[in-house]
Amino acid sequence: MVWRLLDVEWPDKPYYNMAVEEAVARAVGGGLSPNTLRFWRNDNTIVIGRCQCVSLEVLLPNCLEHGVKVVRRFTGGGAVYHDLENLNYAISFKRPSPIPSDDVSLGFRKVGEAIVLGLGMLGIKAEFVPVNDIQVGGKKISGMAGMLAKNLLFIHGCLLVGSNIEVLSKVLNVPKEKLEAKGAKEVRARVTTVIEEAKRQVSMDEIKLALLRGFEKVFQENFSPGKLTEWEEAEAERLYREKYTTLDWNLGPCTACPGRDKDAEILNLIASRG
Amino acid sequence: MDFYRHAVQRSSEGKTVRVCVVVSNGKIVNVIFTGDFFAEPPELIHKLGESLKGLSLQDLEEAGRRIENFFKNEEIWLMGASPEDFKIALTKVVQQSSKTD
Repeated sequence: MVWRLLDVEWPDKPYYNMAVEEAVARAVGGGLSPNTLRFWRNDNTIVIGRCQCVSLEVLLPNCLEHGVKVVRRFTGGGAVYHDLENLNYAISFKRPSPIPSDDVSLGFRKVGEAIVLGLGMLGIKAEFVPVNDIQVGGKKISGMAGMLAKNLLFIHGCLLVGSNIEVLSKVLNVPKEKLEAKGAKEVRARVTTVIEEAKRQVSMDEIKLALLRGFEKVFQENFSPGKLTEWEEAEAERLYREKYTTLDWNLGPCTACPGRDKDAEILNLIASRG
Repeated sequence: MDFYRHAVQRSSEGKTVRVCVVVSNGKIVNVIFTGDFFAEPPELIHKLGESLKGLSLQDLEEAGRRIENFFKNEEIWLMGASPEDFKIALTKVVQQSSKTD
């Protein structure tokens, strides 16, 4: 089966974007759709990792102030800030996948190779840094997350193109242990963007094409542009309604945090804004 | 008396394990591990917290044993952090409590 390229996004509907992400992964895992690479964006949204505590990772009152939405994804890893200058890539493989032993860490490495190759085509010398980062000169330009299920290996990541890092610093609560260990005192000092590194304006289309070429080369596959199937649309609608727009899902399981009730109120307010 | 403590452990792979603990009369009544590590199935991490409820906060030996047994017995895939990181996070909470109590 020819691999599929999906370029579908709902930047103002981060809950739906995430529902589509999972619906596509489920379709691929279930053999209903071919292996799929998707490019997409959210606008002004924090996406937190599956195992994270929203109260500890996100400065929720600041999200409210800056109109930032908050959604939990279905993969592990850390919280990230998305805006229109941030390109997400996601690849779903039916198992057995082309990644040796369907190993997630090798998946990060292989997908990382594709992104590094793509960035190279834009004149940016990047490198994959385990576990799941892509860096340029020691600064993070992209992070990945992933999961392994019975029939599915899934990897996705976000690439900072020209993202509003000032907002990112205001809404993410990065632990000081993490910043200090990486030799930087502020978020701003440890991340970079495609535009900063390329030293020119680079269009999203140019970046997508470069990344696509990177994926084609690394996986030795051709991608055929496609669209969501009826099954994927229906599944995305269901996940949107039953999972990604629910307080239970986005608040998460950390019942120990003392500010949980207040945070629940803020999350509801954020969600009610769209 | 009830109190809440939170500690962060940074793993050798660069990920963080956070633990939030609620203690009542010296006993753990709620403990939740979270972080930017990868775990499948993720729900099982919360079962780890359940296994520590009722323990005395000072009984680190037993807590460590339960954490080890949990990762040994459960079919859980963990990446970016090790069982040791979960033990250290909890130890940090106890150390904090000793300093402030």
